[in-house]
Amino acid sequence: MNPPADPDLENRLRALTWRPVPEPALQASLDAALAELSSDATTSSKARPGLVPQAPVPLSPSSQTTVPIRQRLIQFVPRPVRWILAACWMLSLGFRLATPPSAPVQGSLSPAAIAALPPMDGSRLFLSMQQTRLQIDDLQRELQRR
Amino acid sequence: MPPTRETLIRLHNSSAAGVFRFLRSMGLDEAAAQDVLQEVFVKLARDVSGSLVEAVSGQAWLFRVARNAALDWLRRSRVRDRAAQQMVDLTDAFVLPEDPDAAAMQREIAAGLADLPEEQRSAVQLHLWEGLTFREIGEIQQVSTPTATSRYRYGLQSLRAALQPLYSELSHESPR
Repeated sequence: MNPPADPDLENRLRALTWRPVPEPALQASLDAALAELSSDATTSSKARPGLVPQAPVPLSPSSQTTVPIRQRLIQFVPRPVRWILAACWMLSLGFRLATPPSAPVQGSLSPAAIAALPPMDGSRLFLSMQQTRLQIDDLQRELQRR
Repeated sequence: MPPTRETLIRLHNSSAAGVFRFLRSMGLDEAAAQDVLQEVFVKLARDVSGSLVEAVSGQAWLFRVARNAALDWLRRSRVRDRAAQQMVDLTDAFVLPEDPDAAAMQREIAAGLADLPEEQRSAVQLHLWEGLTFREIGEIQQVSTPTATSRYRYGLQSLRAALQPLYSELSHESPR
């Protein structure tokens, strides 16, 4: 039950006079609101977070077709694995970008290696053969001495 | 449609001083009341859809936003300074009368008002000084009209109890 009204006290309270509100305080609030209003007018395309939630914007036909497919692909991967997979993919991408190009194959029979050899004629070949034979003789003597 | 410049100025002229007094009665000092008042009107200006301006039934919406912002401010300041005692001080909120007895009475009333719980103090402030109906006070405090009425009545009852010694003293003095 409500307590009874108290007209005497109400009258006493009504007789109290509030101090006038400082004019600068009122002016500052009005200026701020008007500045906000004019900034809204100049940037009307910018969606501001209001007190009332904005109505959902209908999706364009193209985004309606592309977004579900992308979402479906992402949803195909189990949720706990998604971040791990993404991290692995990022890591592999990093390695791929950071790895220098591979060195060319170096074999004695590669065309580049053959092209790099000095030109060979009969006298050079004979000289090389003699040197090889001398080396073989030296090695045989060495083996016999041991 | 956002509110027009004229609408904003009209609402400001009719309500800003009342909202400021209301904020002071909620326990905010002048600087804080100024900040919150500014916040309220900036919110109103940001109302891109214009629905809030339409929803302002009299001044109720503005007071409701102001009350919520003031409660937020009080909560934040409590978090900032846990040690600080948040005492509401309304002694300098009213114009002091020249008569010493009236001044003493006024100080007691201000102290009694300050001691009331926030919802009762708001109800008294909004009904007596801002002239709002209990239905509007209910909208502001987000309670039913009977609850708003009860808060007002209980506020007056507590105030009467707090002022009882002073009333007794005055009634003893008056026959002389």
